[in-house]
Amino acid sequence: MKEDESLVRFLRTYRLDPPPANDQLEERLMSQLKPVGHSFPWIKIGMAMGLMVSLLALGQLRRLQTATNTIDYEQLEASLLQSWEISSRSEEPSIDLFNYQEN
Amino acid sequence: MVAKLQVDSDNDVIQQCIEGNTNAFRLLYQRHQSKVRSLLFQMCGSEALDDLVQEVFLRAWRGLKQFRRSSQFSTWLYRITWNVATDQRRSFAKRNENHTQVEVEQLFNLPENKHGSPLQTLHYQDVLYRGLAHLSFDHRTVIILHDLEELPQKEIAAMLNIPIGTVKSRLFHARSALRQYLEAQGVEL
Repeated sequence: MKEDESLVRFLRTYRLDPPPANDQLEERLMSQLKPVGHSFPWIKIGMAMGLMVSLLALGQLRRLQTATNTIDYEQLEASLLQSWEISSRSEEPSIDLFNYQEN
Repeated sequence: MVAKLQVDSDNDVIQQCIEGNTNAFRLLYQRHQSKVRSLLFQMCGSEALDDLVQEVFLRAWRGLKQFRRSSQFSTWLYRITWNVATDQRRSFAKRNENHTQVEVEQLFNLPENKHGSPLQTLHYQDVLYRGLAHLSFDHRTVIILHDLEELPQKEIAAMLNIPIGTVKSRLFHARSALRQYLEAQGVEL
């Protein structure tokens, strides 16, 4: 389009150029460059450690939850009473040893 | 070594940078700094220009390992340039949030008539940069990249991560708005 061409011509005629760079800019940049990819991977190691700790904590939590869920206090009481009864019964000899006669 | 580097393509030089050769990066800087500088100047003005150029190349150095060779290095670098310009624009707007309008002279350090330039040239430069400042950031970016810096539309689309149709549409609207502004200021195109 002719309109666009005249506008673009105007833009390119009257555009400003940037001021020249500081003489030291290149050297200043070069002095700030640190080796790429040779640094110790602290972030990766930190993430792996974090993941491991979370997994361990999760496992422990699940174990505790399972243990708490399985305790049925009524059943425990009943089984304790039962075992107590059994043990107290077993203290009395079930066989009269004094009058015992072997067939 | 340097002589050999001079003829290597950007991709070869990048490989050497990744292997830790800072001299290779110096070559990349020398090849691309003028374009990066010009882009930053058109988008942000002359304030802190050296610092912005340095920031672009430091980000590029740190991100070289992530650069996928499927696109041109220049496109990737101009994308970083655009990101730096956007960050600068945000921080500039934050600092000047109490001022309703940022003076164009302050941004572009418009030359005074010291060098005997014709008054008309100075006037047109002033009107042009006021007109550009009048556009939205998206429209200004596209007109700067395409009409001032002469980047192809395809490269602008890749750089801004937008469809080429969006580039065309933004360019159309930006040109219309700028033409309208210039004509209102008495410029005959």
